[in-house]
Amino acid sequence: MIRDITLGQYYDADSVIHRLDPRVKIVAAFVYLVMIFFVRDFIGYLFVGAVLAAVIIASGVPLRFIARGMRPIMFILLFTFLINIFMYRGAVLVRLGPLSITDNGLKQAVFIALRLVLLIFGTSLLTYTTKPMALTDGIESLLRPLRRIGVPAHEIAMMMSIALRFIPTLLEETDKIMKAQQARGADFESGNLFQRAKSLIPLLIPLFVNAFRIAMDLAMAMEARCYRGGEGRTRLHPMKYRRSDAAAYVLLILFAVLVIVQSRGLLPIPMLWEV
Amino acid sequence: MKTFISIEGLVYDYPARTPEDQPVRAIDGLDLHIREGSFTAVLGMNGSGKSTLAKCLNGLYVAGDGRVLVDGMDTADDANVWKIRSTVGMVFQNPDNQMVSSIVEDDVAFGPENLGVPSEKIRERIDAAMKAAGIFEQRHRKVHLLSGGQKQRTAIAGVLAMQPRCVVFDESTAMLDPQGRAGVMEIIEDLRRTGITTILITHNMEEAVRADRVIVMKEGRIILEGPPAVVFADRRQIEAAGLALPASLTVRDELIKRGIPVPDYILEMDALAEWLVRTAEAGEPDDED
Ligand SMILES: Nc1ncnc2c1ncn2[C@@H]1O[C@H](COP(=O)(O)OP(=O)(O)O)[C@@H](O)[C@H]1O
Ligand SMILES: [Mg+2]
Repeated sequence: MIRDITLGQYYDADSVIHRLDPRVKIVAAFVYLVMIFFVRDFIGYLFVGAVLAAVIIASGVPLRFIARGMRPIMFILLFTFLINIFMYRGAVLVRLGPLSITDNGLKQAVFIALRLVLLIFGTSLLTYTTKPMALTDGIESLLRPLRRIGVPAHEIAMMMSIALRFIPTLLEETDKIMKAQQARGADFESGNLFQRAKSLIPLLIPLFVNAFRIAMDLAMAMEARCYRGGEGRTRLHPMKYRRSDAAAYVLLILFAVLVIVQSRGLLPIPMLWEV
Repeated sequence: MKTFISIEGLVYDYPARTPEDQPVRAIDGLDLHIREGSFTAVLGMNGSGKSTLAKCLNGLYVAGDGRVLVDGMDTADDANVWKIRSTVGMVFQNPDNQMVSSIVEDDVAFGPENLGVPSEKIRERIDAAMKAAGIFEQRHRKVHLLSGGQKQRTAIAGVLAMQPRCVVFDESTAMLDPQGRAGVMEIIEDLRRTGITTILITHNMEEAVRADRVIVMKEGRIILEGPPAVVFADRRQIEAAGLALPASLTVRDELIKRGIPVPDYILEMDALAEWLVRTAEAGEPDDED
């Protein structure tokens, strides 16, 4: 049974990146995400890749940890690569029966794959270097200005941290129920897809009931500990911007400007394999 | 000593679940006065209204009739609600279902955070609370990886961090192994020494005999109360309430039946064993019949 599971993964270390304010990292991840879609040629990818590599090195997270995040999307990556490689017209490079690989197809396929890899590496770096609690605190603080238009910033953050807290508890409950049902002869492993899905019903219903009971208990316990929403609440670890955070914002702006300027062809260097 | 909690004519009904149903009367005209710094054990069968009573003590439930005063504050008055909840802390039965954060110290800080305590002061408070509950060494661990006893210590620390003057334990030892139980009982003894009023709801008679006063509930009323020696002397009522005697008292009864005159004030197993050893060493009184 997987006991030590968290959403995303945190890699415990004490690096410049780990020490940055969570808000900086969330904003940076967001900006980075958008910038990847600005890039239009190989030099752009080279630049973004180099920046990412520098941040990864500074974070002290081993590359194999980050690469692990690729495993679940390996299939999607391969699939999009194969689709793209055959989809574009251009100078034919290789002919495979009715299908042909063109120079444009190859370029597109490589770039899309690069984009996905950069995306996964960059965003997983956020969860590797930020504790889940800090992440939810950061989200709450960033959403706070949107409260005026009715976004429940505190509630969203509280829901996320409670979800994180109870994932392991619910997994344990699932395990318990599964064992209890198996002891009574339930079979979760054999049969076709439909039969297996059906055999999950006696698992899901008690799990649902338990989750409700836990929610009631928890609500009562939270009230007993004077919980009354985000108003007037203080924090054990208050977030405070420091000089390094300001520096990080400056670098981030510089990064974004460079990517945009380069992708528009405004730099005195030629575009390489532009698409 | 002065009265800390005073309950007069308390009635609490759970609303009917369907229009045809009757509301469920969980507390039925209950009077109770609890002195500051005392240690009270509450006994009674499942469904006798113990948890409902506990929730009335800190304003989670508000009296349908009668009133509950905590240190002079009426729990029905909305203005007092946060003051009362931080004054009367509650530790529940299932430690898993009362923790909000994934990390021990973050969870302990939840109460003070809600009370708006400044950040530096929160640190002082939670460190003191975690030390008092014996969980300080584990403060950076994930709560779901702790043992049951450690989880309950975390929950207790979370309550102590609000600096309550009274702590109610609602069957908080029920899901623990013997070691975990002993740990929680030790914390209760410590609280009592620091003058905190404690109320322990339990099914464990050995725990109950350690209290200053025992209250036995049945169908939403108190049917028996007094010091443990007096309450457990009323064998008929104890049986009527569906309770068992503490093992120590069963043994004592047997000894008395066999002519060994064990005095009344001996209630706990440890004390009984000690008395037996002492008596045996002091020249073996006529134990030959
Ligand atoms: N949420 C609820 N809704 C309706 N009835 C309840 C609820 N909780 C408890 N009761 C009823 O109130 C009575 C007292 O319950 P409770 O205070 O939980 O007893 P105890 O803690 O002594 O086992 C029982 O008859 C129980 O069925
Ligand atoms: Mg109960």
